[in-house]
Amino acid sequence: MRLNLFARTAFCVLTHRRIPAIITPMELRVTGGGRAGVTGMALLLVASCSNNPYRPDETAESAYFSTFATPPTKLDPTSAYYSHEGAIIDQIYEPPFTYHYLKRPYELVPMTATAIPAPVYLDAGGAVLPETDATADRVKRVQYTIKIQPGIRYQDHPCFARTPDGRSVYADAAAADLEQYEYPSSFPEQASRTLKAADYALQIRRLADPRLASPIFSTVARYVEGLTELQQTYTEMIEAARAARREAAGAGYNQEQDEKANPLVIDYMAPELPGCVVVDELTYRITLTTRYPQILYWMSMHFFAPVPQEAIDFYALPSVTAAQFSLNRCPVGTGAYYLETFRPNELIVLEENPNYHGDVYPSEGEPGDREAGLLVDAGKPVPFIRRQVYRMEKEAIPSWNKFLQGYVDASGIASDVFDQAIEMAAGNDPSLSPAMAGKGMRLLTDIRTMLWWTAFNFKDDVVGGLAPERFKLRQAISIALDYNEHLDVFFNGRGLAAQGPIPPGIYGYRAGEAGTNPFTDVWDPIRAKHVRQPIEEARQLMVEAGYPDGLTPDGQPLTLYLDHAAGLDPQFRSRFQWMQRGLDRIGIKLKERGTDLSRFRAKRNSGEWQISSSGWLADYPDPENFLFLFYGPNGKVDHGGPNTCNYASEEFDELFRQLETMNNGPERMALIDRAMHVIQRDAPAVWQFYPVSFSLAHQWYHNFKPHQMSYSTVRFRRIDAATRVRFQAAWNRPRWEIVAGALAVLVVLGLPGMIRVWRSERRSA
Amino acid sequence: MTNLLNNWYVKDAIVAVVVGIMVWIGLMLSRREVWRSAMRQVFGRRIVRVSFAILALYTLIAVLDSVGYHQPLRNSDGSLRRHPETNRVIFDSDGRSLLDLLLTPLRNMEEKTYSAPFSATQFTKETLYDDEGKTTRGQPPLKHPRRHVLGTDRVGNDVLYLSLKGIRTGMIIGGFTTLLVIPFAILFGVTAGYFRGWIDDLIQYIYTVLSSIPSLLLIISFMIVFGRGLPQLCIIMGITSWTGLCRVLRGETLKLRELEYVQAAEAMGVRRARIMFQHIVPNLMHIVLITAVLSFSGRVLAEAVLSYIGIGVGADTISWGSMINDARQELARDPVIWWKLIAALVFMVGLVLPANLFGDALRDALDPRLRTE
Amino acid sequence: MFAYLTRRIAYAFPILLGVNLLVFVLFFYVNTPKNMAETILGEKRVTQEQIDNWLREHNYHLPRFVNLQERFPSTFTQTIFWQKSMGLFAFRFGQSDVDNHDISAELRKRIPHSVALALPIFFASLLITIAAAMIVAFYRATYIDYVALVTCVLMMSISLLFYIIGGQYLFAIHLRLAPVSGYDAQFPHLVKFLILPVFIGLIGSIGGGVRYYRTIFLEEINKDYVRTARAKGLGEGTVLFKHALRNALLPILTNVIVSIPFLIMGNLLLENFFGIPGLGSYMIEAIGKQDFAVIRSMAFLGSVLYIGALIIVEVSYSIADPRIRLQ
Repeated sequence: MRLNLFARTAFCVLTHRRIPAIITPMELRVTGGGRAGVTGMALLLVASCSNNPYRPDETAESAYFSTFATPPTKLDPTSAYYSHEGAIIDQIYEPPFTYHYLKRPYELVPMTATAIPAPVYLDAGGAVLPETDATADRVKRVQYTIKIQPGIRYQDHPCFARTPDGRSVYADAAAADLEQYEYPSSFPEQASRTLKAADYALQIRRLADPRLASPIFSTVARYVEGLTELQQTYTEMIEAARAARREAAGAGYNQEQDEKANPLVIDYMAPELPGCVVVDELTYRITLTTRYPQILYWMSMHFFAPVPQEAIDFYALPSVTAAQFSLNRCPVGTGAYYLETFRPNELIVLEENPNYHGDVYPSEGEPGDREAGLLVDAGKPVPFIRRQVYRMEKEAIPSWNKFLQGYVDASGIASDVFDQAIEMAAGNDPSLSPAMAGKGMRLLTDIRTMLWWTAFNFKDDVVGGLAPERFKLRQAISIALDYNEHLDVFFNGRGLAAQGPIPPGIYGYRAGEAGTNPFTDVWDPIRAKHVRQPIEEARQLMVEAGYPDGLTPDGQPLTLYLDHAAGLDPQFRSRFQWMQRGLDRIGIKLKERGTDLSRFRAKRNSGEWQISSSGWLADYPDPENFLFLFYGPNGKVDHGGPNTCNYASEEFDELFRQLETMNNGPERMALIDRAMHVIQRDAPAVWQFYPVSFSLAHQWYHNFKPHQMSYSTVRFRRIDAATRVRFQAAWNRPRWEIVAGALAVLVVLGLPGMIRVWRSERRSA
Repeated sequence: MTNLLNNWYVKDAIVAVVVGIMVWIGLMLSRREVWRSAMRQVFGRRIVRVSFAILALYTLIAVLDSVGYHQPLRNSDGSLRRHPETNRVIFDSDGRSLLDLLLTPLRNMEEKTYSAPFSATQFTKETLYDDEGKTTRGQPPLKHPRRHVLGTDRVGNDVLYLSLKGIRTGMIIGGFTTLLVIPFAILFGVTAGYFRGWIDDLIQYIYTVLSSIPSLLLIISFMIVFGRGLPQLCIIMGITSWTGLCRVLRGETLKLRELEYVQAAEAMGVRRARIMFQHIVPNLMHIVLITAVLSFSGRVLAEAVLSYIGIGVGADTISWGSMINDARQELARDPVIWWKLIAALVFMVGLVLPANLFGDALRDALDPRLRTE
Repeated sequence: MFAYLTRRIAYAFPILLGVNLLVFVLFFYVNTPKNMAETILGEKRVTQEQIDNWLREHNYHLPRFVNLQERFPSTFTQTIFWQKSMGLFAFRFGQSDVDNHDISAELRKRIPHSVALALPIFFASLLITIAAAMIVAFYRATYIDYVALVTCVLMMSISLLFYIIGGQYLFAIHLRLAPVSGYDAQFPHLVKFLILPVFIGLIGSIGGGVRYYRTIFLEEINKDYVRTARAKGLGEGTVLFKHALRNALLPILTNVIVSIPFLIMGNLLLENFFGIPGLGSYMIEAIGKQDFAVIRSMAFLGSVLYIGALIIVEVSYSIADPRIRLQ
């Protein structure tokens, strides 16, 4: 069969064959012109018509297909903080600990460490204190000694490739040589080395590098001994080096461009850091200045993962920098996967790391896991999935449609498609709609460790303050905004109306009637959920607050302002209108004051706002991670802290200080209950809701259990590629018959007109 | 300044001025025989008459929606509320428009969430509880069954009401911006073309700079910096679009100033300002008019795109662009929620199509180069 | 000719300087670098020191135009304007404010994708619109012309957003003929991803195009030489296709050249909806993240392309029409 180039490619596409990679100039000339070329082009167009967003046969491999909406910008474990960044690098970098995949409540397990270390408390004299005596005033130092497993190896990476004399193979490479490679994974020279405790120590020091602006530095530096001073030292080192460079370069010196081309490297290990000491090849010790059990949670995040010195040296080579490779874009880790392709606006591919130290699928989980088929693979070595492919999908809807077509293996459910996917049977038990169940999908629900609230600014003269009439106003507003209805209108009821700042799944949360917020809600035993008190209560509270019928003393309705930066959110208008209507019931007028994000921040920093909405996703499963958002000394305006409400109640602050670093137990629970009562009464915020996430998985996607804390869980999941290919083909046959029908109708309808025109033309000619 | 523009009374004043200018221009032009004959030709075609009627209707609605008043507040027993000390009647701080008054029944027909046109039940399902605590999943009945001609949106607003309110926004974006642009374009274009020399160079420089920045980028930058809102949008759209008209007017003025009657006037010592405004500007008016009508529709469409990027009018202004933007998610539902998109689309096309047809007809009549025999 | 070109290009510099100044003032006076730092550093756990550090790292701690703490010439070079804006003249776009990527490298990577989408749309629409416009002009003042015109205006009056949303629904979800969205830069795979966006882009541009070219043809048809040709007894078809088309080439050419910047700058909506990593989506992303370094660079690049296109138009006019002299 002789076909020209276009026809041949079309043929290949049509028959799912591999397209010949090289097209000879000869062939190009042959197809240069003529009817054959046009026919071929048309054939190619028709043959290309398929809604498969991947290359032919790509989905037949043991690969996981997913989408991402926001391009990750930071992959450096020091500075990455957002979930879409964590979703990538948590699979590459391995901190010493991680969370158990199946068990709930979340439980720490070793990742590269041999065990979870127990804290050693030292008093002022350096003597060890037993746990029972370890009160905050006596403890002067807390030590954690971490031993890592021997023989763990990094992924293959060019930074480890050495010449016989120990220099980097790429030390003298020209930028032009390196630019031909898209990513370090395609460099010809690759090598590996074993993991050492010093790599962990190096990364902890990098947290103090002012240039990397680590989001957790200020938190961690409060506890790790000497970290604040280390940052000071680093700053001085950097400033000195910069001054020298500028002196040498003269007036036209452009620091930003110079450091881009020729990075400024400082010797991280040179200054002392008493808070982190390398004991031996495989052991390091962290020293804290106070009790802070939450440090273990931080240490299970990528901020505490190892980074090899070789990588830092490699990415500082001018040629490597010029070719646009950096640790921020090209991670080097020991995890189950390594980054193979990184085009942040298009495609991210993770490949199985052949050097992976190995892990086995857990053999125990929480009750119900065995029935859900989550323990079928117990004890088998992971990872099962060889390759992960993430494609950029900015809009939620195309992403959902690709899931329905079987081109994405798992999906969340946007509220707009909820009725399509889910049917709520009696008793609020969600189950899949027949259409979805017929496709063999599975539904997984999970209450997120997340809180949404509507904050009142305590620096504001109208809504702020601790006086009784002020908190009555805030309670009235809380009652008027019925978040059960909000959940119905906007989230198909996917969430629990919040009663206070601690969400389910976090220690200190109380479910059912015991958890009712006595100031705004009542427990409805029939619906088995919390409902707002009747609106008359709110009206009464408004009278007590000095605004009968919502009127100010001069007879005008009380006008409040919602400050926001939701310009990009198409749903904001609906949400705002919903709030307006709620508050209208107690006579309050709500207006919006929208700005862009930076001005919104400025308003927050200076305390010139009234009401605004916020959310917080747990960093780690501990109540302190939520209550600290309302701790007085964390006030935004006065202290630059995360307490945006600027709520400062001495009663609450005192309770918080007591429970902050306490171990979980009845004593802590009692303190939490008291703190909750105080904050529920003062109502520094309207507690909105705790969202529930609904995920769908196709039948070929196994071992899928949503995890709120860790992203390094893909390694436990399994894909049955053969099933996937079968269903993809069955679900996606192009409907040419409709196209043909439409064309036929068009021709039939158009024909009389054409004939008439043609006739009249002939007549006039 | 934005605060000033957001103020209701200033808006009223602007509307009055805009309407006044339009009437004045109409009166001025109708006095000239050339224009009268041109208009006779334009209005000779039925489709133009229909277009004009539709445009007039839209304008009427926009004007009705722009004339504001403040409602006196009432106590719960229905009596007028008075200030406790001064005993004056207290007025609502939020203004209402005459259109709001006319549409009061529509405005008050609020539901909880989506409902389809003429439907008797809510569109989405909910968990319903009966008295004994048994739950079922179903569509609750509406408060105003079968009364929503175009259905309701996510928070239960009547879509017909929203679409009608969108008219004013569309007209302001299209019309107010155009009127903002024209004086500048005429002033700068004619000045540059008539005086030439350094004035010409300077004006050319300004408009080349402005027009060489991709206009969308300039609009976006401006909106990021000054915040979203109708006035800001009008101003920046004006800034980016006066350059095109200015360039055309300058070129035309260059030609006109060489004509004999202008030369004669100059020789007779007529003052330059007088020449510009008596002899040159009236002969440019047809270009201005055609450009105004045709660019009007472009702006109405641009608003939808800007809303998509998230830099359109603010959240308190109802616009077709934001309705289309909301509809993106609604279209993905199954069964589809189509009524909001279709409503916005029909209302938008209903404005843009007549404007374009009218503009085309104007051009055919006024631009002698295009006479199609 | 050469002297003209030199002068013309030299004249472009003050314009680019003006562009630079305008954008600079917009971003550095109305919106301060400190605002920028706060936006970029994000919401959770940000301290004042981090903001200061960020400003220091990105050279935004310098004064804007004049640095009085330095000696000449550093007085002017150690300023934000010099360090951030003057480099643009040498096409040194610097690095992104958000993730420090090299903007020039990113532009080089993305321009081909934008062109791959815009070029087929542009040429196909040029071909179709000119052909359609000629047919409409041929049947001018008949009901074909009339119906065509109303159809064109109707097509123009519908927002591109609607075409995109409707097109995705119809072709990708219902008929399953094209992927909902996605991209693959390698050639034969590329076709599959471009079919739908190109088709939608085409639909979106036909209405305006036909109307525009119809006007041009009508303008030509009413000129004296056409009357002469017709008086000679030439058929209407010959007149239109031989005489009018040839003379209309000049405005068509102008339109083609003026479109070049838009071809390169990318199609904002199409790229964004279909996930094509071109300059259009780059711009939207930069706006979303408030990456002002990228926005500045894009504004500058757009101006350069625009001015370049203007120069080419003038030069090509003089080549095509000897009566126009370059002065």
